[in-house]
Amino acid sequence: MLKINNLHATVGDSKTAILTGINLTINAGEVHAIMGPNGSGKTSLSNILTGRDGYTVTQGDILFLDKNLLELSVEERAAAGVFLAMQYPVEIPGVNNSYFLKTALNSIRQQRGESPLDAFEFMQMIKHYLTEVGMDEKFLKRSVNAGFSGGEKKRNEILQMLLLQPKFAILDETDSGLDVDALQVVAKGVNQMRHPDRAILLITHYQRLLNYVEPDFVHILMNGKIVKSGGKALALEIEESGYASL
Amino acid sequence: MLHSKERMLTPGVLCLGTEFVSVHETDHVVDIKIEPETASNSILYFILPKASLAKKFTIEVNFHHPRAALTILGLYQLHDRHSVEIQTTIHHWVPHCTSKQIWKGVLHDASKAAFEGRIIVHPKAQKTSAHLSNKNLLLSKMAEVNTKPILEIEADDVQCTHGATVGCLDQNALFYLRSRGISVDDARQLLIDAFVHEITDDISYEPFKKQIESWVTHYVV
Repeated sequence: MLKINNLHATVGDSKTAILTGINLTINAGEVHAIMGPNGSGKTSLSNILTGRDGYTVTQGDILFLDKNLLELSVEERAAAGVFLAMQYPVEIPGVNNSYFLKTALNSIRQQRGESPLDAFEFMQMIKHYLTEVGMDEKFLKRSVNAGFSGGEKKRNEILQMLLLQPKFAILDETDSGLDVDALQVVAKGVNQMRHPDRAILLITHYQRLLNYVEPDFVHILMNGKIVKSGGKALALEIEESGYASL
Repeated sequence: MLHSKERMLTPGVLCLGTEFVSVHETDHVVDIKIEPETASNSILYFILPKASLAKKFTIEVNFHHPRAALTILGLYQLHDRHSVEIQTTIHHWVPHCTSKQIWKGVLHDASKAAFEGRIIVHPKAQKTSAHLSNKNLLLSKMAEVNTKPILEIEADDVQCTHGATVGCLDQNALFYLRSRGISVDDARQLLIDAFVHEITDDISYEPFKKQIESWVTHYVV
């Protein structure tokens, strides 16, 4: 599904390399976890995968479902099935959450050649997913993430993931700063997304989330490069002896 | 038919709640003067028409009667090479009056706006509450705005605030919306609407709410 070949990238105007030769293949049905210390390039990788401005790919390429991902705009990637649950979901005062969710869903449906949902169909669908993530309907009336607590923002990310049904979901430190209840909601949402036709990439500092969502593969990212890959036992190993041992 | 206390002063400018309003219009200049009555509560909506011929608007408010309150909600949106100059002067002469102004500007293309908001609290105007905010959204590198909030306070027991901002669309918000599949044009429009609707969300006067909202939407496009 996703094939990253020898990816090198710089950030901003600096010539400093933030990614220094990443190779990673993720097949449909797999759950991968990337762990790494602060500044290792985890968030840069998720930003480059989703097309955020400010990064320059200097070498290598990324194929997503046999398409050159780097040639697609941010919204084209979303329509192709890439989703990023962000580490810091953005607060957008004045944009109604319900309107935002419906616009997002119908934009993606339109780009996929599907008919848009009307208000009634949308409400039926969103109410179902709100229950799944334990959010009250009143969140629909509020502005996108504005004044939401940390846990509510992350639930809203999972809500969007369930609604948009991406083929490839990246969760960038969705587990950080969550209490156990919210962590379980996130885990339940991710596990629900597990499907032979989908792939999931978890980016995390800690083993904690991986107790709830079992990855098929674990990769250790350091200095912009994957230095070690293995099964879920590798995450436990890191938890015990730290990154310095590698 | 407007009630005597509801007056369309000039296209896009609606005054509610006070009778003491005068308008003087020449080809390119509109001068508005308001003197709110004792214990009145009035609102002035100012939505600059897209094809406005007027280039300059002055609004002068004189609080000569106590316990009067006036709110001004203003929006100017400019395209191409259009320009506008807006000057507001609020004189607080007597005690216990309240003025509140929220002005928002959206500047596209090579448009230009100059905003000057002056609040003068005279020595006898104790217990005055006067607030002014002017926020501007620049949507092009060629767009330009000059904003000048001025406070002159000669009384000592007053509450006054003023502030002005000039900014661009929030790139993080834009990315967030696009990453959910919303096209860049739709995402920009959503953010501009969100910026502008602070003006219309406060409209409690139903008969005009719809009309004013349709103006806003119309001028946004």
